[in-house]
Amino acid sequence: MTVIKPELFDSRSFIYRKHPQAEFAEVSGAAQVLSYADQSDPDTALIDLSVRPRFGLRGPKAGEALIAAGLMHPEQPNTLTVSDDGMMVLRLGRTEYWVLALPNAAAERDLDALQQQLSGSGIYPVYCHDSYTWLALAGEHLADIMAKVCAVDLREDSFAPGDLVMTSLARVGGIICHHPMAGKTVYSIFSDSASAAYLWDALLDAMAEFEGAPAGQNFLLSSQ
Amino acid sequence: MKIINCPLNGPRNSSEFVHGGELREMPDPNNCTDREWAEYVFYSDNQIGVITEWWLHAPSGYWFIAERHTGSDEILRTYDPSEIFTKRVEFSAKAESSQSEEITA
Amino acid sequence: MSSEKRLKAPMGLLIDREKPLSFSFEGKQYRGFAGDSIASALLANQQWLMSRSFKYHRPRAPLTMAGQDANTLVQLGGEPNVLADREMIREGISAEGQNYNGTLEGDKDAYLGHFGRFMPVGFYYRSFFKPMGVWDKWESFIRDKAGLGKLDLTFKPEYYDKKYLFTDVVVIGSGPAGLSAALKAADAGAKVLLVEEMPLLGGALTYNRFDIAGQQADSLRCELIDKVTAHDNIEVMTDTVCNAWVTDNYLPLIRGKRFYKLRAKECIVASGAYEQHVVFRNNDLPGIMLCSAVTRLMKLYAVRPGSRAVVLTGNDDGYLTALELLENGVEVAAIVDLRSEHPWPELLGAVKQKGVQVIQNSTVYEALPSKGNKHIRGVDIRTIVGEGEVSEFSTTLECDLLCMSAGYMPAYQLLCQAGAQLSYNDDAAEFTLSGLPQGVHIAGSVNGLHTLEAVLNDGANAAIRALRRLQLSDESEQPVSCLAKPNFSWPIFSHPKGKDFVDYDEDLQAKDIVNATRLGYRDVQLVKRFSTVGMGPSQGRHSALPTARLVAKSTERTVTQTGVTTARPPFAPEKLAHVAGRIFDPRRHTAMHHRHLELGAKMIPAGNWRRPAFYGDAAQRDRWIREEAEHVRSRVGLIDVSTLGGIEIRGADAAEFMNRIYTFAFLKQPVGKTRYAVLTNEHGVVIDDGVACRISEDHFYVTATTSGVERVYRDMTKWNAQWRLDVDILHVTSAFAAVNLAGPDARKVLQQLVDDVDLSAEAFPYLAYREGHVAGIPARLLRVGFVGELGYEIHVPTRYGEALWDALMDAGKAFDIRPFGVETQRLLRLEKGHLIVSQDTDGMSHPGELDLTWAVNRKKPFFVGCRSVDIVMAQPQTRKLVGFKLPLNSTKPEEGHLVLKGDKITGNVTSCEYSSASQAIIGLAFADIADSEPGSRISIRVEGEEIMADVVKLPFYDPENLRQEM
Repeated sequence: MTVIKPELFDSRSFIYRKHPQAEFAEVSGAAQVLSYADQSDPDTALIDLSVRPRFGLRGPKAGEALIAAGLMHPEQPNTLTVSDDGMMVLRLGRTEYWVLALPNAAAERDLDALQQQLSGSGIYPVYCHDSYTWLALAGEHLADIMAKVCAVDLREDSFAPGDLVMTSLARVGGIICHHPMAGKTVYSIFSDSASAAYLWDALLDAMAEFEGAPAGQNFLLSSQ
Repeated sequence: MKIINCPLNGPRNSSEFVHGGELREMPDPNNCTDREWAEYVFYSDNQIGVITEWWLHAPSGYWFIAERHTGSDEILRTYDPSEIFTKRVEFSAKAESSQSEEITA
Repeated sequence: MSSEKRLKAPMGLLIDREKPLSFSFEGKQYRGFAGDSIASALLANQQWLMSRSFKYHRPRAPLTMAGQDANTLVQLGGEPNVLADREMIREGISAEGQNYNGTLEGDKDAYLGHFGRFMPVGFYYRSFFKPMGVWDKWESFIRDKAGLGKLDLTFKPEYYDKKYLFTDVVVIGSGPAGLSAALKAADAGAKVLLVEEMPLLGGALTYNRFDIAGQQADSLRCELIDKVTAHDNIEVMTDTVCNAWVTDNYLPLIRGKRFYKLRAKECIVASGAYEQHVVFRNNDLPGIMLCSAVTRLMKLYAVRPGSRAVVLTGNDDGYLTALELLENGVEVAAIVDLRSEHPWPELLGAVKQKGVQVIQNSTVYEALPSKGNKHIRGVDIRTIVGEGEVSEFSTTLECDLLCMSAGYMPAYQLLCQAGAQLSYNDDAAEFTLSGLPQGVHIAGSVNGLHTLEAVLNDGANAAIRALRRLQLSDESEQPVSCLAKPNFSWPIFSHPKGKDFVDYDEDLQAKDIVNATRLGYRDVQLVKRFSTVGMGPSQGRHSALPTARLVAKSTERTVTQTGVTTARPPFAPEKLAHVAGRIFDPRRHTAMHHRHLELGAKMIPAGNWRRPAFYGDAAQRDRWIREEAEHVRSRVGLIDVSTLGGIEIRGADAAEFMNRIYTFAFLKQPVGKTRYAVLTNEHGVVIDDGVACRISEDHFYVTATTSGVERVYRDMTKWNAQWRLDVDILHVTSAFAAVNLAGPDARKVLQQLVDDVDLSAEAFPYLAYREGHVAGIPARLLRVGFVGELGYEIHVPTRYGEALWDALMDAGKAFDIRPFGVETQRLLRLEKGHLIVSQDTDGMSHPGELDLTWAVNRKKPFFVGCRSVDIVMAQPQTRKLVGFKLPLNSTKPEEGHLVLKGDKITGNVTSCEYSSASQAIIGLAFADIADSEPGSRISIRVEGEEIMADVVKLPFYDPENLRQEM
């Protein structure tokens, strides 16, 4: 059996070199970190989800199309929904949506087919799989950690599950989304794919005082 | 640091925003005088009082309009540009205009 | 080592007697306790002398014991200017005094004090100003004499960082007003952050005596602190300095190695007040302290400050200090009261009962020094006969401690930064604050209240005002009154022999301030700049009030009219490390970044991006660029162009939108074709360029320059916020990784990897656009000619970027493919005469100057800047960007070198390189319009030498463009 490594695939995470010791699994034609070897789960983890399937759409007809396709439509701008089968829909501003497969997404969900379905006039694709890296910060002290890189108040009282903010973190534009998974607080962070390595390091640095560490997507699947 | 209330994203630090200049009505570029055009491009009233400005919330790429008092720096109101720009803007063709494009790529 | 005798508990709130520590000062070992400041531990060991003054090198000892004076600045290891009365001792630390020559005890420069009258304000600048150059000779000597501390140039940076904080209500200061405000606000449900500069909550309750029995402060402090620490809604930050007030309650807080940026909805400033000194001769001798400093020493550190004290006071607090001293075994030789009125009768009775002599309507006129001005040994007391005037009759008292209090100055800094106005109340002889902005509240002694009851009520009132704004309460404020008037109106007794210090930091005497006004510096701001009053580390905490009074009197104005100088941030000195620590410096890497590193690229910044300049060591730069360029011309090269900006325009009005944004015509651009796209701003200046690909009728993919794309995107979205065209504008720079495969063998390399696009010249000609797969990766293909050879730009989704690079390098092996960098590309495009916007253009360049009129369509109704272009093009042109050539053996001009016509500067060189293809030095430069035709000559000034270059027709290389159209 071949050991799965990022370089086996043409499609690669923007920061796959940050995970030399990790265990991977194939996810839609690329290597997704499952876990970091020789490591018990930290209290706070930073997880690279960059290769996980997702697509974006926007335009005056995007919202209607989403509803027609049976996806959970976030009613307010800058909010998100998560369905039972692990599909997350972000609404960025008024007319832009991203559809993402969370690590617990049902395997039969075919995002390529869904994307085909969600096209037509008044709908424009957004290349969020390539423009943006997807990192997840999960576990404890998230608001404290984010307060070291971001000027928006992300404490639970002002940033509830289902909220998302478009802001600047560590001086890079980004989107921060609050969506609990497996009983843990999770902030998904989407930021410029070209700055992914920089942001990864900046977040790890901010996490250090809370003993945070990198981990794989299994961290988001196991209950504490 | 000043807080600006973005109509889309709510109150944020001013460092998230980019100033887009004062809102000004463009004279008809094909039929105004040179002076009218120069005043539009170069001159600003610079009066103390409430002015209407463009602001961009950079992380979301969202332009909006703010009414700000230049004396107190207080922002009195922010709103979506669609409140002012309600319909498609057209530019009148110049009198001798023809639609031919002699340059082909 | 002297064994120290501390006062018994409960004196010594801050020290832990179970934890003795040893440290050294000036090479000598001392012992103290955990919780001691360096200063308290030294004073406990009778070591008073801590530093020498800035100008006269006078011996100095603590004045405030609260970090508010410069007298305690010491060198702590590699760190200069550490406040010895704030810095806690740690085991084994080693501190030194500052600003002396030889030893602190025997400063060889102490003689400077005797020359005081020859060294008036501005002495150094005025004396060493002429003749020219003399300052340069004297500067290092003078800086040595006047410097503060020594920098350790071998220091290692430590980790300092920053964090944001958020709260409903912040309370600055945890004295009785702050504690009361915090509790009131928290009880109503507000989240409260209580910020205290000291290690202990309580402010004046920790050291001040408010009653004859001396019980009130402690019991109240314990009661309030218990409530505060138990309260779920209150977060406490001690050892934290709020260093400024910034718009909308944005407050920098410094604690340890972290710089916090707090955003508070409401801000309550209960910053307290600074006790003020009395100005008289030798008021800086060690052993002379503020009353509050003396009580701090006893209450916080259990240090007995002396054996025989004199108290000089303008208020009742001096009497309470006397009681505190007596209780702790210090003899009080006399209370010298500046006032003629008595304090409250019970207080007067209490001190008299203890046998203390009270001398009313009198002042200390001169403090008498021991040998070498090392300590006070007595005071010369005179009766006050007028404002600042004393009788000739003198009484001398021996003492080793003088405690003084002339009143209080509100800690106004943060509030004035918030916009409050200071005005002087002549009746109370006190500055008061008014005119606070919304959301900022004042409470306690900073608000001119001095009795405990008034201060507590005022704190609650401030909280009520904040709560009402937060809609957490509709309670009304309770009236507050305070009859105490602690300020004596003129505590300034100028002495003919001087050394009557107004400003200890800067060694400024009363006459220095008055002289400044006589020299014409009548405004207090000018007095400050001329005399440097208030510029020292204590920033006018003690000098502002006497200076205002002196300037007002000398210029015959009111103190309100005179005012104080602006209190700008920072409130307290902050380390550069706090500002510099953990600065975010984003770096952008392309998908092929690591391949470039593996290939030995010399990486250079391009905005936030890092790009390969060329591949090889920097020492042989010219060689690598030449080789890479020759390789592209003769074989095939590969360059990463992922940083190129990308924008997609989609929708029914896409072509109309393109037509309005860019100067060219786009309505009829055929699908599958690219077109050069130039952008002017409303001034008609060229601000960016790129290539527009028409993917379908309603879909354009347009590139922009690496540094310009952000602006182009913003401009586009702003325009369409007005035009309301049916169009979607998407910034896609990071979505695509891109390379340019260029050279005569480019097609052969690509052929191996593409089977769904016909790459033949006929099917896929120059300037065409195709979509297909390269090595199985979905790709956009553009036939471009930027470097002047057969070339394909290949754009793929970023996640595939590295695999694309690998596939092309692999397929190119047979053709000896070689990567080339951005500096090589600059040379190649220069050979083709292509300009780079912002390198070869400036803030004035219109299309006519750049020979771009071919790319401007003036038949369409509109493009951004069209009218300005019309106007400038109708005017006589004065300059033009031209190509020039020089022989290879000529001196090579650099970018920025001037182009001259006679004495007149006509422009500058914008690009210049050695070109092996042209066997010449080639470049672009702005030339006078008269010299812009090929065959003219232009004069370029290179390092003083004038070089004549030939103006030539562009491009330099392959003028028929045969090679790029292969």
